[in-house]
Amino acid sequence: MAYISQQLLNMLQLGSIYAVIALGYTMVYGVLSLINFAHGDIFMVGAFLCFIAAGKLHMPFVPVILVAVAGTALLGVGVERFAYRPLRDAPKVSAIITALGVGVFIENFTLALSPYPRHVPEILPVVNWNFSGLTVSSIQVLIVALSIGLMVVLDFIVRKTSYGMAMRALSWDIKTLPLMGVPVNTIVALTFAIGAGFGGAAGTMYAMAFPVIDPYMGIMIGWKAFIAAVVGGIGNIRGAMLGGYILGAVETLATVALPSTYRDFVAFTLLLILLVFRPNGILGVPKTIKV
Amino acid sequence: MPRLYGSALILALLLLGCTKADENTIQIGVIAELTGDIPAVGASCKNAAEMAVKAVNTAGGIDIGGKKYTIKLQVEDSAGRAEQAASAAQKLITRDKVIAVIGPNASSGAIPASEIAETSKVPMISPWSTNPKTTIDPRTGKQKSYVFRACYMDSFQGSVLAAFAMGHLKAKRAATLYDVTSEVLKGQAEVFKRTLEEKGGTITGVETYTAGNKDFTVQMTKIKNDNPELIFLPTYYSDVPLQVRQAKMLGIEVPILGSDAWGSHDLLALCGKDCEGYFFSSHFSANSTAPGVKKFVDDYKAIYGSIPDDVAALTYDSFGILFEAMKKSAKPASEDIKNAIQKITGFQGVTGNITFHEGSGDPEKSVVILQIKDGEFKWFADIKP
Amino acid sequence: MAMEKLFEQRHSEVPVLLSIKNLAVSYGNIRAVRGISFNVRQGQIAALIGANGAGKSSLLRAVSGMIPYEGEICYKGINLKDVAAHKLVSLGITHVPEGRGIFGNLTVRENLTLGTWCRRDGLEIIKKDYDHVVELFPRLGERMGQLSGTLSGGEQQMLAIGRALMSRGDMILLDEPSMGLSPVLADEIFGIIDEINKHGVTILLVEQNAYMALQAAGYGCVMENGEITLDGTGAELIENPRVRQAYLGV
Repeated sequence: MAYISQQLLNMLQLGSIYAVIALGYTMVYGVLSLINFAHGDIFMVGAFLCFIAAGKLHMPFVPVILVAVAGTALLGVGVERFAYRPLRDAPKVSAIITALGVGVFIENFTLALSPYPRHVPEILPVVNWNFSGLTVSSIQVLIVALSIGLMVVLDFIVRKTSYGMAMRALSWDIKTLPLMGVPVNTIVALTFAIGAGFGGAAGTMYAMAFPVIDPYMGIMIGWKAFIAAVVGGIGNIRGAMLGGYILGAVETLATVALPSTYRDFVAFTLLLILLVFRPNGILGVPKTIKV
Repeated sequence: MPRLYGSALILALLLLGCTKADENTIQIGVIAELTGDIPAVGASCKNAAEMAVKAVNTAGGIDIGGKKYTIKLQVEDSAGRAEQAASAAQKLITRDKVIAVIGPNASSGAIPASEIAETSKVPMISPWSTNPKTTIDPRTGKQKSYVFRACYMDSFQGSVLAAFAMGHLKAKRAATLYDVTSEVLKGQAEVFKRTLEEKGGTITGVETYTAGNKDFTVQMTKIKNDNPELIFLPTYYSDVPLQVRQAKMLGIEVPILGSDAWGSHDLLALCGKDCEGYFFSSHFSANSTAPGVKKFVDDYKAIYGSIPDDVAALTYDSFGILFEAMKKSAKPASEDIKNAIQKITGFQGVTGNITFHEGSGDPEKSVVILQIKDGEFKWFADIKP
Repeated sequence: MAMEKLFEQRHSEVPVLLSIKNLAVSYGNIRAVRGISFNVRQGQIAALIGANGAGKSSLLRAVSGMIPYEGEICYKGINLKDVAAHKLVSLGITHVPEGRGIFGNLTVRENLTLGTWCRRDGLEIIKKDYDHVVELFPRLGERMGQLSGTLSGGEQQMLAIGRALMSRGDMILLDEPSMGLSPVLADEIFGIIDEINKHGVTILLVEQNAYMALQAAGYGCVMENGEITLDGTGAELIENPRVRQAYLGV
């Protein structure tokens, strides 16, 4: 029993991290129909900012997460301004190639500054609670709580605030939005800031749970979170969360039941099968034709 | 016509420039993992190589058959990849005409590079490769005659560690976790398992992962569920901190034993306090009292500002072995050097007393067990075969 | 030309709100608008009529900064060349684009709220404007929480006009308000346009339905192949034999 709950907790922790990264993909895709392939690397930058803030500047937890989120949000805005905006009207394939290029650039820039793996010190003291065999660590609780909190906040921003409304309007018709007096570039920048900031938050959480970081850490996790977003229905915020938790669960179950080399193989096969039956993802709807 | 002569002359000069080494210079190649997954290994190797060569050159060069030669080092990056290690070996041997090759360190690169050294008849000493296939041709099962190593082998290491686990740590039930994509680590885990079971111990679980993985909580949860008395963790130093921390977060408190893959000082920085009290096997201890170690450590520290790790020490000894053999050779030829290495007995290196036996590239030496204590690697025991 | 002079004389006491001089719009090699000039005076309903492809929508898009153009567009004496598209709303120009520009994934209420983006005059006054829009279009009031993509064409047109009113502009650009609507609905929409105009909002209207447009308009222009070929009061144009033959089918 303790064993099963322990594995469920592992599932929840991994799923939370995937979900928060997946939200960054889904935000940008939902609003601009652009797959921001640099997002995994923005996540990595978030982890490195956490390392700098906590390891070099010895900041406490709250400033660390603020530095990581603000830094990646700025990076996201910069990437949009200098890499994606000039291509906004270009063919989609150019934008995708640019996104991949930006990712490689960020990786190698970080690699040039710090080629070695780095250790992120303990930002918060780790406390373990024991419930008849089930060990719950304060880090796990923090990660799950922080992820759920972030998701609720994002859902609120997008559904209830005027900026969220403008984002949704932008996703429907980018050409008409300026006629409402809405500055499109500001809304796009805000979308990138939020998306990238989520990447930064995920990077910090990741660095707290898995405190050895390196410049390539974002690649595989980025791909997985992207797939989580697609499985949930890309562009759909609740879908991204669902996709993240599903991927976390599938990976955990595969590792429990099968040799480790099968994990990604099984996880991705299942996801592919799922997409065959639900091509728009679980919560995605086919793109409606605009009237 | 004059123009044609001119071109021919330039071409000839270029060719000479490429191949003609100074009469009194001997080129030695180094293949190190300067980039890729284990850059700290490559950096240590390069540092020790440069230090060893500089020492010889400052002393006026090396005496071979009554003539002094200066050593020139050619360092190539293997990026920790098999194919790049092979092409680096090819490049050093055919283009630079090196007389011997030191490296690569990781077995994944040392195995393909050793094939090239063997067929080109150029002696190669891998400082750190512990996989049997580096010195043995897996197809014929025969020893390669030009390939040597400065370290002991996985099989030896795995069995010594199993003995240490049962003897010193009194652990009869052990679990293991390793990276299946690494042949070395897999080999260490398998030998450990076999030896432990032969000695009457039990392996409660064999868990694996693939390189690049950072979340080991699922595997650690499985290990915890089986309730072992010890975890054997033959994993690279960059993965160890994550595994140890996740074990702690799951409330696992049994001792953890590592292999030589832990042996990088970066481990201390990466682990923080999490690895305190754990043991691992090593090739070298910087606080050993053996002759020559203190001078080596002090010199290294003076140049590079850090304490040498086992890769640095083994690289230094690889050069020591090579220089020793060169001095005993009649002329600076690859074959003479190879024969001289095979005859080395009781060479006092910084990693211990090294003896080679005719027909084998694997040395006879002892295993050092280190403990991580107060944020340092402390010598714990020397285990002789 | 004579008529234009006459017209200018008659109306010269009313200030010009929008003045367009030598406006030209090109899409690659295609010249959609070829150097046209006209003025819209404060409080007017001005109508541009013409066949499909005459360049009417391009003209409106140029005014609201959606496309690049040559020539000069001045609004309240401000040259609009360097004004970003989204700043026009604050200046008082609201554009109801061709196809209505409804955000189908937003509710009716959210669409109306988007119209208030640039307003800084307080929630209470805005609340009154919601009520005013609901008064004008009772059917929108019933559908406030509904996704606007599910509305009928007429309701969407009402929403588009209602949203334009929410921005409280001095001038509304209307692109084909009767398109796709039944004659009864089109009548209703034009009734409301009149109503809005009576509240002091200047209207520049582009229409294929020439009769309705000219009936409502104080001033009208006929556009053909990117040029203005005729202009005058609405009543004059309705009586003009060329207009009658080409656009009214009588």
